Amino acid sequence: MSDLVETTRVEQFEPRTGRSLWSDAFHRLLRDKIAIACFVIICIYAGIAIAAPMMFPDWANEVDYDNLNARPSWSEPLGTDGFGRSILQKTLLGANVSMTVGLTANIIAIPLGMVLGAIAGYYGGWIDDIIVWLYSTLASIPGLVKLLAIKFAFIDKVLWKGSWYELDLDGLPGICIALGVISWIGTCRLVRAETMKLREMDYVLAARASGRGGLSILFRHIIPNLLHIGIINFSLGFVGAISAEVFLSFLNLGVQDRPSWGRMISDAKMQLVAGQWWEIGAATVAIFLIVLAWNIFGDRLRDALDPKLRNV
Amino acid sequence: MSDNGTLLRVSDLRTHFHTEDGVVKAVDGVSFRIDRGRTFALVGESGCGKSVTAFSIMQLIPIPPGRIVSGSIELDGEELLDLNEKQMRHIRGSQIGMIFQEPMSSLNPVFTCGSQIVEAIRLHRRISSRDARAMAIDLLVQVGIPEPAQRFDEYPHQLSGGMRQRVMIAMALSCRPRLLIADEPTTALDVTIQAQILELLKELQASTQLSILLITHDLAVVAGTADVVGVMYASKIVEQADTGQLFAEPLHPYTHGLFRSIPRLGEKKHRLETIPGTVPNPLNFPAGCKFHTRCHIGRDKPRCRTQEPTLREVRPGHWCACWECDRYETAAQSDPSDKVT
Repeated sequence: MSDLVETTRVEQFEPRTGRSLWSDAFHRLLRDKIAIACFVIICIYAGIAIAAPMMFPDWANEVDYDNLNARPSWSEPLGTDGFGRSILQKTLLGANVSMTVGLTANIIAIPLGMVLGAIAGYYGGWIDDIIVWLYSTLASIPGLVKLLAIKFAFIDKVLWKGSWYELDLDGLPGICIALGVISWIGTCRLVRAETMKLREMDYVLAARASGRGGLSILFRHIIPNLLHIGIINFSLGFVGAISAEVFLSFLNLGVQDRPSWGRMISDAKMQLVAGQWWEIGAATVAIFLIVLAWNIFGDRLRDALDPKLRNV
Repeated sequence: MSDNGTLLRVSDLRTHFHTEDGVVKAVDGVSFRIDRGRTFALVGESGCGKSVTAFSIMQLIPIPPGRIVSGSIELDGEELLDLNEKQMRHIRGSQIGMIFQEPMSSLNPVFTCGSQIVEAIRLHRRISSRDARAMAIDLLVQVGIPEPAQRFDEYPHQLSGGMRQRVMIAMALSCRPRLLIADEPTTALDVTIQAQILELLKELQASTQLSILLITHDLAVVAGTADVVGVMYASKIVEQADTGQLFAEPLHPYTHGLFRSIPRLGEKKHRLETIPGTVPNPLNFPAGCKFHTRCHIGRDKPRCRTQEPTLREVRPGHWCACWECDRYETAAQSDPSDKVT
């Protein structure tokens, strides 16, 4: 009982300084050990994603025909693949593709969904009709079909060839773009509904009454109140992008020029019959860990950022 | 108080809402004027059109889409209805400030109070953010916020309702507007804070020659602050007079009813008197005088049922829209059986 009284008192007399939504959420996350653990895992993956290509630039040529499909051993902790290459190296290199896809696809999808959703919700009328029609139509096509259609359209397409900003749509950039342009729908729906609610708020009216108008109200007063939705969807969308990349690579529509976890699973699917589990196992564990970490972190982030879930 | 001339003149303002059920005449022929440095109060029940009048002046009519059908709104001789949206944005905030009923929701929760005042200042003035900050802190001092430099960096949820209303007032007055529209500024506050806020408005008015359009349903608020009062009923002003005159001698039966339905301290009564009936549906106003269905005098009078009275000057400076108001007082005294429910 005395414990209870003690905690309440501490809660009530928290210092008044710097308690914006963001710093408040940050402090909540800092107190959450599981969230920190997940964040550390994500950071380790990001570190590997950056470091691995520099550490093993020559992975493709390290073919060892005397040592094909070797079991895990002291010299090769995760065994070797059908060409005698180190699976440890491939697994570490795979992080690069996963993290790139997760990041880039969401950098495209989240702002797109937020801006379209906010404009639809704010203006209403025919602008809303067009955007709703667009995402309803897109949403009614199964995700995989959309992804495949875009991927097939991208085959052998290279934009701005020869220049330094050359964009190889057939490779990794194409996957990121394809995933980006199909995964904004959920964010858009959510943001549209929230904007419709926020535009009726008194502070929006107050902003109008003090002489603001049009888009500046949307960007100054409404979108800042929606940023938490963007951040939460970003963390949850990361998982979707990673899984989608694995799926595409498994279907041999993903990246071709570098190792990815999806390709490893695809390569190893026949080896499983022969009892050679290590390649598929390494890739699966790598995917499992990052997906789990992002899922839990996304959940905790939502708890910290969404005012409605406070103190639940 | 000396007469400094008219600041705002609203004539024959009509604002209609076109809904699926028909045309709602929310404001239907309202005229009044506000002199410099004076307070004009619009009083009336919910839904009588007083807030729509305020939003019409700002040209911020809420959805469902309403439209100003006719009339004129002149601010210092300038016709506001002729301005386009961009010109109107210059007027809002810099010439006319506005404060709202709900201080809890009229500040943006993700920005500090100070930054919101700074934003309001810099919207109309080209000054550096440092100067704007100094101005904002100055404004916070003026509206009576203790530790203004510290409050500047606090978020709205850290302040009480009264404090937030003070911040709103600081925001509304940041560009020294000539007119302040206060839409039920004290309704959401408790009584002691109400008194403080009204006192603050009076002080600011005295020091800056501010004109105030006060919108309220609270007659006590009117008595303490307004110079002139307009009583609105069913989209029209039915009685208008100086505050003292109106309180001493209400002429319209509706105004009379309002006064009688205020509980008085120390008075022993079993039941508080009310005005029978409800406000008529704005989609379907009764013919004749809109109040006749609830009026103990005009209920059965043929003229009240068929012809709508217009505002006329019954006494010097005292306007009333009632056919019977000349005979009203004698009638009310001789006929006490007006409590039909």
